[in-house]
Amino acid sequence: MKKMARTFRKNGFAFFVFSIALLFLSWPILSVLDGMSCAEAYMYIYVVWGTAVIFALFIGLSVSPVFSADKNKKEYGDGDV
Amino acid sequence: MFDLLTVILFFCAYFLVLFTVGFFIEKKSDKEGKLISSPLIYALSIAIYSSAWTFYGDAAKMAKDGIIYISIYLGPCLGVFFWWIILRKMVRIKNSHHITNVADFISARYNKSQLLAGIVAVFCLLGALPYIALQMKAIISTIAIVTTSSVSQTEWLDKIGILVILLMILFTLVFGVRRIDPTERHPGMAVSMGIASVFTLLMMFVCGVFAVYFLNDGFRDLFSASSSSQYAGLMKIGVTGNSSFITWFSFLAVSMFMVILMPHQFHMSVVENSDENNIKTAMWLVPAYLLLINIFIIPIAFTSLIRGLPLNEADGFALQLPYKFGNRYITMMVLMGGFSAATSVVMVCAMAVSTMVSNHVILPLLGLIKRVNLSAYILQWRWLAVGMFILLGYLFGWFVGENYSLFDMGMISFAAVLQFVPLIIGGIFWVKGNKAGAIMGLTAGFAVWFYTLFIPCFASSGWISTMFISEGIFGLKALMPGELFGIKFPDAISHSVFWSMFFNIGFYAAGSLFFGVNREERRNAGGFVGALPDEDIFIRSTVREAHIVLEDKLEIIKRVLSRYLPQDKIQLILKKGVCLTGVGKEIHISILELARLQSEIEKLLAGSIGTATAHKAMMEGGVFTPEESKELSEAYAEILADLKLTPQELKKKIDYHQEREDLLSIHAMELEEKIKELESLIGQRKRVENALRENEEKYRALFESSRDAIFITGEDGKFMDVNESALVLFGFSRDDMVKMEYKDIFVNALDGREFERDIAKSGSVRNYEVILRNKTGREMKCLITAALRQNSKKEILGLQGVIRDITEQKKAEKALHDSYNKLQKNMESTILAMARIVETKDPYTAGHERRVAQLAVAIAQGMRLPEEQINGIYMAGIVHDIGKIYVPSEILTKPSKLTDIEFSIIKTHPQLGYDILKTIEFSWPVADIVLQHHERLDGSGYPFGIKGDEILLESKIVAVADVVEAMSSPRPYRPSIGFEGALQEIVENRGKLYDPVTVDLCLKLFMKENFKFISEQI
Repeated sequence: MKKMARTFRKNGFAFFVFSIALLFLSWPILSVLDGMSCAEAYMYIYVVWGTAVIFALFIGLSVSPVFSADKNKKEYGDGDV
Repeated sequence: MFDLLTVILFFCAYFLVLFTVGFFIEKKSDKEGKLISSPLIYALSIAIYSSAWTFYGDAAKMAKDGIIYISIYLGPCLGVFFWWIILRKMVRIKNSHHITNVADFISARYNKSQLLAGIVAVFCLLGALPYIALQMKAIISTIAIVTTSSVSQTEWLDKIGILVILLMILFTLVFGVRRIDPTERHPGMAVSMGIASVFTLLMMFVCGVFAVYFLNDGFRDLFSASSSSQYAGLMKIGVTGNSSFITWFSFLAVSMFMVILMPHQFHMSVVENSDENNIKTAMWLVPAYLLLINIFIIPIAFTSLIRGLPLNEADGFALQLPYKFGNRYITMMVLMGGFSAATSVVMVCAMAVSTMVSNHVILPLLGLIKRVNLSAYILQWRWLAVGMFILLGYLFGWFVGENYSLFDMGMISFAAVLQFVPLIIGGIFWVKGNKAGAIMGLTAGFAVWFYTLFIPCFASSGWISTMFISEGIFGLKALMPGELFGIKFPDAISHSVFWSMFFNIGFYAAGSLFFGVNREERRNAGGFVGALPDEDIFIRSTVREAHIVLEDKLEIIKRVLSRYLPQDKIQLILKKGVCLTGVGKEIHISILELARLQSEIEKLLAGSIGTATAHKAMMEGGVFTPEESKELSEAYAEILADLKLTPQELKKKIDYHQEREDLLSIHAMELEEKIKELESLIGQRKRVENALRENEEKYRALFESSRDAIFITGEDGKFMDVNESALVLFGFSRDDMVKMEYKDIFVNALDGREFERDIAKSGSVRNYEVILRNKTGREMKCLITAALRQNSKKEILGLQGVIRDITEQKKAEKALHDSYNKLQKNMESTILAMARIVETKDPYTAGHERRVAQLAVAIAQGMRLPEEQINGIYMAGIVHDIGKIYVPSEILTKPSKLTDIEFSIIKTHPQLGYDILKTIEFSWPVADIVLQHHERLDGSGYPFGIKGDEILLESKIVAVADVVEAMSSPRPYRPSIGFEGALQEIVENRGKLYDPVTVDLCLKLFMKENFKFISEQI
């Protein structure tokens, strides 16, 4: 999971997902709607949309807390051992 | 189906529920922050993006122009991938600059320009009007659908319109503009909006389920019917569809930003954000919500079309379906859903826009009116702005709503607010963006929007001539609002978006580069552009695979430590090291984490055995295997590569920073010393202050407890401070006295001026006797001891002094004086009585003593002796022969020459007189004068034969007077020899027997001043 999280956190991943989603929702791909039935076109739009939402979910979960109490929490006090 | 009252009651009930929830949340906001800061609530509050436009307008757009409508929901779903950078940056900037709206944000970035804030506020107002208009139109038209009336449609619409306006204004004021909040956050409202979003979604589902499963046999049936109908092309875009790709992309691009930049969206996503981490949830929840709320739009549109609902009533399709097909409950639920969607947006948008307008337009204008402080009525001005905004929105809808669908009106607003995008995005990513460029770009873009979209609305609705639409302004075809410069676009929105962005971005960039940024602007811009430090952005950084087993490494480290430390300490060090490195819960760690762990443990060990030994122990401990060492080197090399530094450069930087750290340490030590010095100074100062305070208290005690009146005056002569005794003495209150000048208490104004003159001349006076008066006018004799008050520059600050009332003292003195005088007179009378006793024995000497006393006094006056001495001489003269009282009368009155024995008896009279007089306490040496009045300068006198200066002066005077008087008076044994004979006697024996000065004065008295004895009865 951590490995996947690191992946989602990696440089450009969000931009990558954005680009793919844009591609699937733009002219080169959407022209396939021409040959689809209404139901198929409906399914296509919502599947792409849903997939983008899922990736957004993964990215949101993978980002480290900005101000995390755990990160700064000191289990043991300072001072000499 | 329903009467108006029922509908209004339902609306009010809905509003009451929302308001109650919001009210209680705000009341508990201090204690229970969990709900308010909940990411779920945050995301759902952003979802009010789905307004009446979604509820009613999308189905209409779908029915008319196909699937193009969905682009305004896909846009935000694509934009969320940048929210972690863009939205988070905006939230941070909001927190650091206390930003409460879009105008604040833009103004804060561009040199805190009030002009720019005002322009943004005005543009927001104009741009949001169509958006509000569509909400109002949706509410009014849906109310009109469900209510029946015999009144004509237009009148009914007007009546409903007024009612809706009033309700919207009331709801907005109660909900969001009840008070002025410096943060402009309304936690309760955010929760209410979240709940409203959920309610809207549920009602949309109700409508959708009804359409799909009640009016059709499910999705399959519906789509199958659609595909075989004339409406199949609605699912396509491009050539075979009803909309072009250009329109698709325009809508995608516009909506990507509108979800966070529309005034209400900005408020919810930026201003109401209480925790940046909530953005992570919103990033997926908002797209998920938009997906869900759109699921049934297409089925609703298709069902409506297939069922034959008229296209000109498409904006009401969602409501028409349950209404036309007879389901009251679903109709009411859908109506409430649409109402919920519309009111949420109207309230938040009106609140946000009214805040902008009141803060950046109204208040600055009021600031120009100096006389009246109208700025104090901020809340009232904001209420006015809310009312005007909603009214204007309604009027816009009234003017143009008939000719525009809900969707189209919404897109006009989107295109307006889009003009802020270059300023905001440029502002947070481009340091060179400046105020001049911002004003130019915004004005140009908005002017294009205004010309290409806003004005044509009124022309299309017939309010202004359509000539300029078809012919262009001034007849210039190149300036046709729908075809600028002759370039055709498939729709007006894309056309306006393209040209407005072209001019906006162009002028913004050109203006910024041309005018440049000064230092302050650059610093300000830096704060915005650098709001997110690099390491916070998740799109970066070297990460290494965690493949090293932590437990194994801890065992190795334990073995190293066991050479130096006992077991319990080892456990503690390990735990602490693991905690500091943050790998406590890991099973596997990366090479960098291992390096950090070793470093932390080495530092802890150094505390016990020294740095060098600890370092050597860890290096030789075998913590890193050769492969791991190699991996670590590679990792560092990667880091260096990332930093674009060679190891030497890195060392240089480290040395530089080390040196800086050393310098900082030295500075820190110096600062510490300085602080100690200052602390010591502060301590001294405190002691001095304490001493001063004690002195002040002592002074004050002395001041107040003194029995004398103490006063201090200022430069103007008015009393600054007086003590209690002064108040008692003069009878005034303290408040009265501090208004008086000190000269006011002088009875005689002249005395006051004289006092002033005297004190000014000498700087001080002591026991200056004056007559003062008190409040009742009673005059008092007083002594003033006073001095001028001066500062270090010798400037006179006033007077300070003491006044003592000596009226009683004077009275006592006078009484004493009178008593003394009386006593003196008594004594004199007694003495004279004593002298008469002698005279009764010797009639020849009657009056002799008195005359001797007269002459002696005259001589003494001629000598200018003090009055007291003269009195003594007088007294002595009166009784100088009192000793003769013991001499037998026969001797005193013997007519012949006295025998030696008789003369010797006579010669005892001075001693006898002394013996009598010495018992009386005269103020003068009367007894001694009497004793010596027969002594002579050459020692031939009696009784002691003293001579020269041994004889009292007074005795010398009495002696001369006695001789002159005796010789000039008859005696039993001789006649008077007259004054000439007597004077001859003293002249002949001048300096021998008699004091020369006395003799000369006596001669002068008789010869020049014609001295005569005064005959008096004793």
